[in-house]
Amino acid sequence: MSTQNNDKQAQSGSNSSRKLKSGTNAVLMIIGMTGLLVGLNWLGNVNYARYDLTEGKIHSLTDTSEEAVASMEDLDIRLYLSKRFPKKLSLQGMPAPIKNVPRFILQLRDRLDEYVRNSDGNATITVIQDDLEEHAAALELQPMVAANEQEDEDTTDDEAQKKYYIGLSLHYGRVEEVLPVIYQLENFEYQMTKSLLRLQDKQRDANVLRDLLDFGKQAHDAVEGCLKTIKKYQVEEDKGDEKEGGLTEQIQKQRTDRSSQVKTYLDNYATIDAQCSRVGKLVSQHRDGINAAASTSSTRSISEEQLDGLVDKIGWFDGMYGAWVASLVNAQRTPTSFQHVAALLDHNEIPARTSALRVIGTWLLGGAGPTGATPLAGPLADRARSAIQKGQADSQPEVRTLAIKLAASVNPAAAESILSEALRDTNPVVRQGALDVALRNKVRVDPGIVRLLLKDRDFSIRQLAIVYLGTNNAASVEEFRPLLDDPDPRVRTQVGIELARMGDVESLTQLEGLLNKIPPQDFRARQLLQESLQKLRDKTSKSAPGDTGTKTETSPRKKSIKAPGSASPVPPNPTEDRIGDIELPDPLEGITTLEALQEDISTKYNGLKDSPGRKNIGFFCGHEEFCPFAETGSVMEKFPMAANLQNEPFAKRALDDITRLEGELNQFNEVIRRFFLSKGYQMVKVEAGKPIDSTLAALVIYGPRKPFTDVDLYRLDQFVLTGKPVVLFMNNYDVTINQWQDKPPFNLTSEIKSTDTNLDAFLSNYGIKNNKDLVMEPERALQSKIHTISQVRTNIGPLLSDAPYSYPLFPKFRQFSETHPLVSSMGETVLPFVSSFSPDRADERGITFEPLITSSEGAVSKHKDFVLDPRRLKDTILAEKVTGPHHVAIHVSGESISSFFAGREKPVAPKADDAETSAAEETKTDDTDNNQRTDRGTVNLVVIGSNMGFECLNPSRLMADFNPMSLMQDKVKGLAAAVPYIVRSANIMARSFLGPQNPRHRQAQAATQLPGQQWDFRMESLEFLFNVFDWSTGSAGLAQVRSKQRKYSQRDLEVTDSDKREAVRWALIVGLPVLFILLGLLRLFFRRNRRLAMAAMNTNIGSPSV
Amino acid sequence: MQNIWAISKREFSSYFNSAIAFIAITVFLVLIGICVFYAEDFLGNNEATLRPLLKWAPLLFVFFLPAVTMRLISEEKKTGSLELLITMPIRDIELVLGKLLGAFFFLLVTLALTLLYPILIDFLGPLDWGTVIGGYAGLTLLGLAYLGIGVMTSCWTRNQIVAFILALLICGFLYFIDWMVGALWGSWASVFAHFSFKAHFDNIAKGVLDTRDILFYLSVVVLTVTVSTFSLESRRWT
Repeated sequence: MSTQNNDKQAQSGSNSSRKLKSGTNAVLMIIGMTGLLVGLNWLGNVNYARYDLTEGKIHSLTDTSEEAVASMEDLDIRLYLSKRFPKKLSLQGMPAPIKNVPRFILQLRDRLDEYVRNSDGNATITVIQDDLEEHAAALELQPMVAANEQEDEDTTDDEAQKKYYIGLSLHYGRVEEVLPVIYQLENFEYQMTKSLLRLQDKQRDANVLRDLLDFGKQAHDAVEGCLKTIKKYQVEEDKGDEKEGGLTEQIQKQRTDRSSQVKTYLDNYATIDAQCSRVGKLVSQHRDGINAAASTSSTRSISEEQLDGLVDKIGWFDGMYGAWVASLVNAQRTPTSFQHVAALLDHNEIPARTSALRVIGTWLLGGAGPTGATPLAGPLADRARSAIQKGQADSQPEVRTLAIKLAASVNPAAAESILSEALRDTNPVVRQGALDVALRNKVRVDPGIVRLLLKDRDFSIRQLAIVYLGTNNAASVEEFRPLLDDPDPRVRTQVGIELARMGDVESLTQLEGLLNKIPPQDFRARQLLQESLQKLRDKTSKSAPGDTGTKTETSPRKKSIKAPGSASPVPPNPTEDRIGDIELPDPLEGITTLEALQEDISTKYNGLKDSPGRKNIGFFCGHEEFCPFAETGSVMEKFPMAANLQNEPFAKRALDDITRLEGELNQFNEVIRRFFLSKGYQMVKVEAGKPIDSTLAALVIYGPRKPFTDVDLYRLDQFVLTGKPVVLFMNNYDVTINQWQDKPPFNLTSEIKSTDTNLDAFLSNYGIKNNKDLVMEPERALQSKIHTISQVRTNIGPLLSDAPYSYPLFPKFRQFSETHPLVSSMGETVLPFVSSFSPDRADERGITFEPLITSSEGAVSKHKDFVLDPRRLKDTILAEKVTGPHHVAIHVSGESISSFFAGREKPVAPKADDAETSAAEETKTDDTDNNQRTDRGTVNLVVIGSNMGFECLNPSRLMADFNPMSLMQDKVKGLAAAVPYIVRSANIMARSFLGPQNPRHRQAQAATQLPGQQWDFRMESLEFLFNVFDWSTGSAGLAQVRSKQRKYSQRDLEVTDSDKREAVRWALIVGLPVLFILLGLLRLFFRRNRRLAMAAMNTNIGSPSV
Repeated sequence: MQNIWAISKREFSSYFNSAIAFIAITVFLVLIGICVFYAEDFLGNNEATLRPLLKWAPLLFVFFLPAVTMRLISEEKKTGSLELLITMPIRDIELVLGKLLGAFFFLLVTLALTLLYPILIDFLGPLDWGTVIGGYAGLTLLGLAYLGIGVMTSCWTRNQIVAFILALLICGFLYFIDWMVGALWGSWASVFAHFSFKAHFDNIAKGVLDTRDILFYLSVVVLTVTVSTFSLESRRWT
């Protein structure tokens, strides 16, 4: 028994150890297998293969990308990633584009790995996660934030505040490119490859531009160093006891603090100036031409221009630095600080010299003032006076004017001679300044000299001369009368006032005529002249009938008559005057100005750094094209008297809104320009009537509406023959749909006008016939929600209906050239109001005519009797004869093509009236005019029959007919052309100034709903536009990268029949399961039958009868 | 090999010899249809793509496939037929592979039925068949991995429900692992993304056959088969 127990125990023990052993083996095997699989997967990560089965291989790199990365040795790719990420990321408040961040990063790494794989070992990736904020600041990476969704309760407050980065920088040789944020993978390849190509261009150009870039960096660093040094001595504000004490104590404390800060700066001036004077030296160095190099390449000239702009800005910084120093001295005038300001008198920049003069002059004249300054005396005073004298001979008129003014004030005895001398100055600024001082300070100057100024070129000088002579009774009516025919109305008005005051009865009729011509809004002038005329009339009625003499002498006036628009009475203390200089900045606020300038300089410097590799695309402007450049100046400058309308409530509101509107339109154009710039296209304005810059990489003429002059055609022709790409977007028709009339009964109307650009013959020379038609696609058009307004009854107002219409005049095109890089990868595009082109003896001329975009065979082309109303068109188009296919975008090319002007006289440009257009400006870009004309050349011209929805949005065009006088009648006239565009871009504002009671408000309101033809397809049009730019700047491969994604991912359902769609839906949801069940039932049925048969067979076998 | 084939055939037949398969597949088809056409508003989006199907099918598989595999070994254990198999010249691995293969054929039938989707979608618009091939390859591999997990959990317990729940949890966890880990330990998220079924599935479903993804899923299958085999073997250890 015990043996059995022992045996059992032994067996049990043996079983346990066997079990343990087996279990351990199993675990080890599993671990081993896991390790093996992990190792295998790791190896698989290092060496792997990918097979992109998609059409167009949208998830693989294109040839362009592969070639780009393969050709770059030692490419350093740095990926900036935050260490932690929230679940979802969005870009600064936009909807969350990244919904699963870990997966996104994995996919991004995957794509980057593709680039590295194709680089044959030349590219490396480094992931940077430390010190991200510093890198972000240096590279201007764009931060993302945790997605801000209301239902997202898991986003903590910390996460909501924090910034996250996913960015890239690419380093190649001396140059770098930055992708500040990556938040979409669909266009990642495009962005990445574009950056690679730009890097290659930059590196190639950087060698050419090395000296410019180095100098730019030096100057930029000098500015940064200067500001840093200044800030080093900034005393921290003691805010602790800010609120203690009463107001007086607080003011006193502030004064003490400021005084202490100024003293600190002045005490450390030597250190500050040692750093900051470098800035001026570098500027001088550049301007003296040490760094100038002949612009042998267009690449270099672009960057030189950038550098010049940067240096100008730095020069201004230097000047403002000088002004700041002057302001410091002004705040604490001591004999020691006098040295600092005296040194500024030799400064290169105007602000520094004028500020120094101001301080010296004020000090000399003011002496002990509120600042408690030590009066200048002895040698210092002599130095001050000689500084002022030196300033009178300064090369800059602003400085001279100030010096003259100060000299006249400091030495009243010599004022007459000083001012008389100044009145003979060649510069009108000085002459005007001197005359003004003479007038205000009542200094008698040689009237003979002043009389000469009656014929001055500058109207304001003539005006002042009249005032001076009149005030001092130093001219006769005979001397004034000829000025009644002065070309400037302000001079005429002024002389009229004087003549009336002088009692010139003979001129009474003329003066009354003059009064009638003064616009009613020019109140002051009218008032003055009226008063004077009234006095004259009174005088005339009192005088004897035969007495028509003109008194030339009148009793001295007790009060001077103010010139219209002149300032308040001249104060006796000229130190308050501001003519010719800038206001001295507050010593502490002056630093803010310097900081703002430094930021501006940084921006310009970045532009310079970025300039290598960037290509300029010229945009022709002047024929009402789409011209995305903000206009300098204001439309309102044409109407100076409009300033007098500020007292009228409606007019004031309207003027404010119009000014703001103008600003918005300019801003819109600027935004477009900067948007293109951010994509790597630098747009340069080419103005009509001026030579075309030969350094341009390509030229775009975008939707002209006005004729080209022969001179412009010639210049264009010569540029075309250089072989550089020229792209012309034709705009054969000017169409507005459902526009309100601007007068009762305010009916809806659609309008179409043919535009005449004088380009048809020009195009014909290059083998292109402009058919001047409109091509429509009855079956394939943009599904636009055309909003229409139905007028039910006049007193109710319009009813808005919002019906979707397929509008054939916004046709969709899907037929693209399969070989041309510009369009071969495109899937679809919309070209509104598009015309077609045909070859015009292209073969004979040796021109290759290649259609880029073609309509379908079912397209309709019309030349007249256009139906524009979408409601009618959808019916009438069905009855039209089909005429397709039509070519709506074409490319012509050829070598040794004859010029349009071959055999003809070269057109002569009219002489510029504007004397300020320097010869340098004329010759700088005047290659096409001054170089030998080309009669044969290479042609590379693309013509597209639509402006793709981009209209001219320049205020000068849209507001060309604006008449501010209409504001006096509570009307706004002349903005009709602008309303649809204005309202689209400035919706609320247009309504606000038009006012709800104004009938035009309905127009504005309706206009907001109108199918802004330029707005509906802007975004789709942009893609084609970028293709065009990429092609025109030589990056044809890049166009393939971008478009490829859209073409193969734009897969719309083509069957629109809702019945068929529903059939598919129910077939899949219900039909398929039901079918499967039926199959199952069928199977069950057959099985059952088979089973019954088998059972029957078995029964038969087992029966006794067998 | 013959044993594996025999077992798989038997398993496959057993599915369709009862109403369970028909019910399960029918429910799956109805649910996927509802998800595609209502949850994803396929017709409203107006895009010829299989993406909605590929988005929801893996999620439904998390429930569907554990249900398919829960009884494979558990039932054998419970009914005692597993002991009977010990007496037969069948190796454990053959048993596991046979069961897995049977379930896999079931999966293929299910996927075959859904082929009507790309066919009809292509009728409506131009479908990229590359993504279809990739999508179905992804579903097949993902499904196979799920089945492997299901067989593994079925080996661990006699209770089918427990097997189902375990498989569901494991499949669900592995599908969303990168998202879940990211919510807790953000810095580890990208590491765990390598283990995410969904991450690998998305790559293949795009239409890109990447050997890394294929290797990953096959590794999961190999690992689960290994664990299942040892689980079965453990009954001999006593």
